Amino acid sequence: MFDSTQSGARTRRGAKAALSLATSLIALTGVWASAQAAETRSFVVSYFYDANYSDGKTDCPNGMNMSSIDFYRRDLLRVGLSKEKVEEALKDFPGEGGLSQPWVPLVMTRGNGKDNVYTNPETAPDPGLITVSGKHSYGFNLDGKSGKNDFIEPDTKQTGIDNQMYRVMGCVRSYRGLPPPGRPSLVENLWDVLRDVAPAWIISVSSQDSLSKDGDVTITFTRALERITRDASGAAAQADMTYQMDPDKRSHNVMKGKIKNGVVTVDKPHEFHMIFDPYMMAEYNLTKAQMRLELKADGTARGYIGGYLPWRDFFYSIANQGHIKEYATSIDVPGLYYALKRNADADPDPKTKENRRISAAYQIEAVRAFVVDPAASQTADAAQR
Amino acid sequence: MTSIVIRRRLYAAAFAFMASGALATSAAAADAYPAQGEQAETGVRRLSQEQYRNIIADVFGPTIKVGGRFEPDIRRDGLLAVGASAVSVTASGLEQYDQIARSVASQVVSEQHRDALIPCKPAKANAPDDKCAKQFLSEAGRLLYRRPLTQTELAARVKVANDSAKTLKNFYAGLGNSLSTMLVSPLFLFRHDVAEADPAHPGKFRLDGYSKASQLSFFLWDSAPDPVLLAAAEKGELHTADGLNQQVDRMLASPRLKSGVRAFFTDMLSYDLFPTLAKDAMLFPKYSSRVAADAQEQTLRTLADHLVTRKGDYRDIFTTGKTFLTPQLASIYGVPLPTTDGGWQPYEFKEGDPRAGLISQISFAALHSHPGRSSPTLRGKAIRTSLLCQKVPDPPGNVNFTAVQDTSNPNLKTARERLNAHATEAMCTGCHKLVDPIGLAMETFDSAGSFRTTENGAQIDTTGSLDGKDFTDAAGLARALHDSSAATSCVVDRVYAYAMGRSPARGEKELLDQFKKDFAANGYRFPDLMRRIATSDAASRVGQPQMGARSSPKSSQLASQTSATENSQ
Repeated sequence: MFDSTQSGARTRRGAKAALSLATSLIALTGVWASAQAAETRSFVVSYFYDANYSDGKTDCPNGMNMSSIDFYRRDLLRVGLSKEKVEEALKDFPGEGGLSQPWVPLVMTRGNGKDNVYTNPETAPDPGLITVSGKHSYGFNLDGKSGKNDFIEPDTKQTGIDNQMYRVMGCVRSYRGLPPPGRPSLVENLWDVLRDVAPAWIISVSSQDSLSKDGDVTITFTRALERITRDASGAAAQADMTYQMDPDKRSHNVMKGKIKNGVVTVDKPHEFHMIFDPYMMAEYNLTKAQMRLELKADGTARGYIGGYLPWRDFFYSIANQGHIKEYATSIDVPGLYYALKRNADADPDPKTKENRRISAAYQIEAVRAFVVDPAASQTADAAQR
Repeated sequence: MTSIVIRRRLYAAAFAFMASGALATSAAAADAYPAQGEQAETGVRRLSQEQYRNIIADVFGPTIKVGGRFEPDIRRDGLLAVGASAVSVTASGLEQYDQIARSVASQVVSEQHRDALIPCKPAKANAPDDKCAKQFLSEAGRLLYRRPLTQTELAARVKVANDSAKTLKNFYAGLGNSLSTMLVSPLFLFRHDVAEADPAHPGKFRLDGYSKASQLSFFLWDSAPDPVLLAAAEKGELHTADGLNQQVDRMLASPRLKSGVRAFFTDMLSYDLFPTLAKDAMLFPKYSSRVAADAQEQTLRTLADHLVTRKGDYRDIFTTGKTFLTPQLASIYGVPLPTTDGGWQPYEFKEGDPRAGLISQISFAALHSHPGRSSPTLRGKAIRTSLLCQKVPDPPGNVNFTAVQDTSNPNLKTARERLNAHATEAMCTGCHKLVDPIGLAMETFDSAGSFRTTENGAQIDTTGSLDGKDFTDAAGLARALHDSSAATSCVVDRVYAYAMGRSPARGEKELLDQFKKDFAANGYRFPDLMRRIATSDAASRVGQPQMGARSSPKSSQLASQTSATENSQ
């Protein structure tokens, strides 16, 4: 299921997960299954980021998208500014001082010269982002079909993989990445920053039997009340910490699935909600979501979740920070708008027939944790009284 | 009776630094050999870092920050408290003390603190005010020196404040300057045991009241005497059984007793080694500086709770499952610990859990391990030396440790196998027989204190024996320690040495045997042991001081030197 490159991918995280407690260290949930052989393993998500397969060989044969200074120069010339004026505006790019930089108001209105392109991207013409034309991508076959726009999963070799988000973003330099020990992408770095201030995410996999046997499982993916604790390496989440489930049900996902050879998959597509942080993504709201998670012998878990995401949600997660994120990440915001709109592949608007969602997939890296459901504890306390 | 060792040369050495340096010459002059009748010093002990901090917090409040590096302590006969009688102050150490003193003093006289800490206001803020300076310096000085200042001392301090205030045109700056000189004085940095003739026992000597007060306070509270204890000393109440018992009872009933108990075990368990303890983050990603701090706190909290709050049996510290955890510690112990604030929670390891008592805690397992691997030898040695007061010789200098250190040898997967290979060398066998059978029982705890059952895929064998008592695992070893008379005997010896600042002498065996009998008779209650020692005649009895030391030529020379230095300022 996972190739050796990935299973040995601890190096970027700088931590070696040691199975110190063997099978006796089964993580808790608030309520233990009553069957004697029932087993639950819980994890805290150490990393969650866009599942991009940027191998640098076959993914972007047409080259990379421009850096921000280059597409700013292109667009400002297009709107009629003289070359001298453009160069004068960009001479200290990006500079300091935010809005006081002379290039900022120019690029903000580089569509029609007056409207803000971050809120009105259609005021600018479609620059035609370079998109991925390689064959491989992580993700899932969300529509059950195999077409010309679909990828092949590099590890499982499954065909019909839907990940148009990767197609759109995969040739933007800052979004190019690989799972460890490959290079990290911007999104992985954003997660690394935000997880210190955002609530942790916890996953529990429960079976009525031992999880070492194949069979039915219930997967819970939910938000915690606590933030993660980093281990001594600073890179990964510390294993065996205790997390309490957030009683807010909006990010509480329960999925039925199967475990086979230690790999958990969902039985059927689910809706998946993960209210996160506007700086990275305000909400991961996936329809027809699928998940694949390998429970590793060292106590970690690793896998993917994928589904259809409202592409405008993603667009505004970039555009809402205006020129700041645009120049820093070299994502041409009007270009992104058109590319997302053009590559969206699900949920057509009944009136316009325009697709409102785009297929996407995300990497999950998790370490063993204890999970407690405060609501269940309260119930138990009440019963005791 | 113990022969008295005059520590005057240490005092003189510290004095000499001050006298020769430009930092605190006025302070040195002010402390020049106060005459107190027939009294004489019989010993000095340098304050520990923690005692220094505690005194500053007690006298000036916890908002006064004490920063900087302190002189390193020396461990003698298992205790830093004993080594404190054998250390001086180096030139660089005095610079550090001076820096800390100036920082403390400037905070005390700062606008933020002066209204609360200085009991009077000067007539003019930009000029000297001897009356106000005298009031503050006499009150603070009494607490810092653990006795009232003599008129000569006080006058010298007031003069420093006056001179500085004139020069700086600032009363508070002058007062701060004077206070800082007090804080680098040997009379503050060192505890002075002063002997006097005992009128109740002609021909014998005892500690004077203030020395006795200090002895009690540093022993029971790890800090200087409070005003109540100083008042009792001043009235001579500590020389009467009733007065002494009353004060000891008061101190034992105080919440501050926990500070004293924690300080003792911090010393006995060698927690001074923690700041230099490191673990390989790749191998032990859960171990961090936070965990190191929490691990010490866990053990100290557990001991204070068991011995003071619960008044438990000392022997049970080796077997109790009751403890306190933080989420980080719980992560290493592999147990769930929901908390609302991420702080300390009571936790109890159930009967049968591999975690039983002191030696199974992270503080012990991690402290006595190498950065990348556990060490049955270090752990066994720590049990022998720290908990059983036994001697284990250091390894000879030419030992080949290759077999022990190579954890990747496929033929020697476990520490037991590696040690067996190593101990076949004749020069190693003797000591390893002493420490390995007990250290190997703890091999189920890795270098960071996490539980494991295998090493390099091989099952860990934790069988062993302690002085003829066989066990099969760490919990069995803990039970053997619980039942070991050496363990209870050891703690009595250590507590006595800690209180006295010296190791028990040969002539004190009978006395210690009595303490041990009383300890057992009282159900091994630790506060009762402390009471027994604190109120014993031995604690205040001293041998005949060498009175001539006060007027030795070297001392006279020093006194002249300091006076001359002051006059040259």
